[in-house]
Order: sequence, then structure tokens, then C-alpha cells
Amino acid sequence: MNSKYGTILVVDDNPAILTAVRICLAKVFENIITLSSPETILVTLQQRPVDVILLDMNFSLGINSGQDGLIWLSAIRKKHPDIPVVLITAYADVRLAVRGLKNGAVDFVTKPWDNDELVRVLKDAVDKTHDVTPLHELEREHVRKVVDKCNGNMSKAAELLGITRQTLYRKYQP
Amino acid sequence: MTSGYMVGVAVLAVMLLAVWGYRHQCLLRDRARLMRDAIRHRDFSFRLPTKGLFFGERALQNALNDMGEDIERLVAHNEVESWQRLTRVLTHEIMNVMTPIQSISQAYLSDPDIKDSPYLDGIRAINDSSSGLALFVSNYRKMTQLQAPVLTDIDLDKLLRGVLALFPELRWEIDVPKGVTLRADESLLRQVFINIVKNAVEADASAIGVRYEVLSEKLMISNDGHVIPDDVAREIFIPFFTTKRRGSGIGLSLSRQILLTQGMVLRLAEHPRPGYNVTFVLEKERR
Repeated sequence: MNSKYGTILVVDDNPAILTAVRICLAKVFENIITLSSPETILVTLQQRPVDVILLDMNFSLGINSGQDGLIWLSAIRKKHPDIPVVLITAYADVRLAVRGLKNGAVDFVTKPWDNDELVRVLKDAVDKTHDVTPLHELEREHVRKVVDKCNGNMSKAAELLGITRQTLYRKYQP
Repeated sequence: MTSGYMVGVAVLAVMLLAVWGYRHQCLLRDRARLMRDAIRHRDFSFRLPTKGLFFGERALQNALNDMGEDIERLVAHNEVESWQRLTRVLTHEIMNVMTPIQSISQAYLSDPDIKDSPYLDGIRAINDSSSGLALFVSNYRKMTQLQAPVLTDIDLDKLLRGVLALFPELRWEIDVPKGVTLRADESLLRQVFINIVKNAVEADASAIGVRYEVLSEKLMISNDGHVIPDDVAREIFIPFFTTKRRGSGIGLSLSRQILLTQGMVLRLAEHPRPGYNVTFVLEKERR
């Protein structure tokens, strides 16, 4: 088995969903940890290394605003910013999904999902964490953003970045 | 002698007046009964004529007529809203339940141990049924997730010609003055028109009549399909109500909902236009 897909943490208050995920992902991940309540997520993450988290957005019964999921997402991101989180939304609620992505989730799946799609999304999420962006690429991206923000005013951009104009020109070259 | 005659005429006049007054009151009472019955049967578009009434009574009748229409609009609004809410909750719950059924059956179908086992057909049936139900529900999902309308001034005649082109087999009679514009979302409005015409086709219509009344700013879309019986007419805008074998009951309620978000009302005219069996009226929502 490919060791790249090691451990997944799945959080959903519906036991049948947890069973489904266990069956569907049995041949993809080495370890599948399932939690039926989000309360124990942080404790679990402290005890065991996890490669990816699959998190349901709705926990409290009857309220489907997704607020709970977002709160837990933020809590995870704060303590473990390096673990990718994939969200499960109940129905194709684009607004909720967008809010989740803005709060740091890498992707989302909607219920009911297609197994192949779920596997693909989770694999992608894990793969992405293994890709390391070189520092100079990040720097160039950042410099470009700042120059854009200053509407091309190089002096102002250099001042904001705390470097000389010459250095900025050098870094701005593609 | 003359004074006696005069008294006689006066008495007769008073009596005639009294009889006329009594009959007028009876007429008013009958109107009240008619309106009461209409409301009891949830028909708020009673709109009684104001001919033969005194000006005060006429004002009163007009007020009642308008009130009836206002109530109808409010009811339509609430109906759509509560159905939307219910649909959202049902969708959520059904999809929640469907997810493990679909996912597990799909996983088992691709499992080599299952492929040659006697369980294969059963599992496939479970997977097919759950996929079918999920598709069915995702259609209803459309009700709860309407895109926000982008309002522009639409050339009504041009839009109608575009719809006409999609149904060349029908006889079209378009009576819309050139240059009439409607403030609405073009693609959503087209969807509503197409939906109404499609319904007409399914009710065996062969002719469509579109007429715009400039003064009252009403757009009337008529067809010569099957007459809609009164008891059905009351239900046609209710979501999931359908008389078609393969209907979803979503078209007209969705159309009404689409128009409501743009400040317009879609209703069935009490009396179809002459030469047609069904007439839909599209007009601005009065605030």
C-alpha cells in the first residue's frame, strides 16, 4: 500500500456515514480514524499524526447553517495549519462551501458523493501538502501582488516592502 | 281631491323607494355572501362588478376587490416560502440518509468479492434506486437555490420571438406593441415563458396567444390546450402538485417563485381570453 496516504480522520455525527467512509476508503488509506463528535478532534490530533481530515459541516440537529463546521474548521486550522481539511456539505450549498474554503479548507464534497470523486479529492488534498513551493516563487508572487496594489508605483511598493528600488526591480523581473 | 292625489303619489313614491331600497340591500347582502363563500373556498380573486352601486358602495366594493387580490398575493408568497423551507429540510435529511446507502453500495459493486456473488443484482438494485432518489431530490433542490436575478430592461417582443423559435410547430399570435420593455432578468424570464409554453404543449395546445395590455401593464399568455378545472386551478402553483404522469410539479411553482423575486406575479386569469382555454397573467406586484 502506498504509504503517502497514511492516516485520515473522519468526523461526522452520523454513524452510517462513518461506516460508508470506512468501506469506501479502506483500500486508499492505511488508517482511518472516525469520530462521531467534533469535541474530540483536537485531542485526537495531539495523540496521533493525521494526513488529512474529512469534516462534516453540520452537527447540531435541525440547524443546517454549517456554523458548527466552520467553528471547528477554524479551531483545527489554528492548532494544526499544516493538516489539510476537506469539508462535507449536506447539499450543494455554494455559499457555505465558499465560506469553508475562505476559512482554510482545501476542498469540499457534497452529500451524496461519488466514491471516486471523494477518493480523488482526498488524494489531491494529501498530495498538495507534499508539494513545497520554493521560497523565491512565493517571494516573486508577493512582490507582484504588492506592485499591483500600488498600481505600478515602484517607489511606493519598495517602501511598503522595506527594500530599495533596485532590489525591487531585480525581484520583479520574471 | 288634488291633495289626496298628491298624498297618494307621495305614498306610492315612498313605497317604491322602500321596495327599491329593500331590494338594493338584498343585493348588497348577496354580494357579501358571494365574497364570504369565495374566501371560504380560498378563492380571493372574486372581483365583483361595481355597476349599479352608489359611489360610497362602489368605493367599498373596489376596496374589497383589491383586498381579495392582496390576500391572494400574500398567500402565494407564504405558500412558496413555506414550501421552500420544507424542501430545504427534506432535501437535507434525505441526502443525509442517501449518502451511506449510495456510497456503500457503490463500493461493494466494485469489490471483486461481490462481482461473482449472488448478491450482485441486489446490491446493484440498491445502488440504482438510491441514485434515482438522489437525482429526484436534486431536482427539487432547484426550488431552494434560485440564482439572484439581474434586472435589465428587456425588449419583450424580441424575447418572445426567441421563445417562438423554439416551438415552431405551434400557431403563435403575438400582440405586443413594439418597444415595450419589461424590467426583469432575461434568462429567468425566458425560462418562465418556455415553461408555460411547454406546459401548454403537454396539454395538447396548438396555439399560443401573447398579448400585452399597455394601460394595465399586464402580459397575458394564452393557449388552447385542455381547460383547467376549477379544483385543479386552485392547486397549480403549489409545489409538487401535478396532473401529469411524469410531472414533477415544480414548473409553475418555480416560475411563480422566479417572478416573485423580481417583483412580479404570475397567476391564472379567471376567464381565459376569447378563443383560448387557458390564460396566464403576468403583472407587477403591487406594494
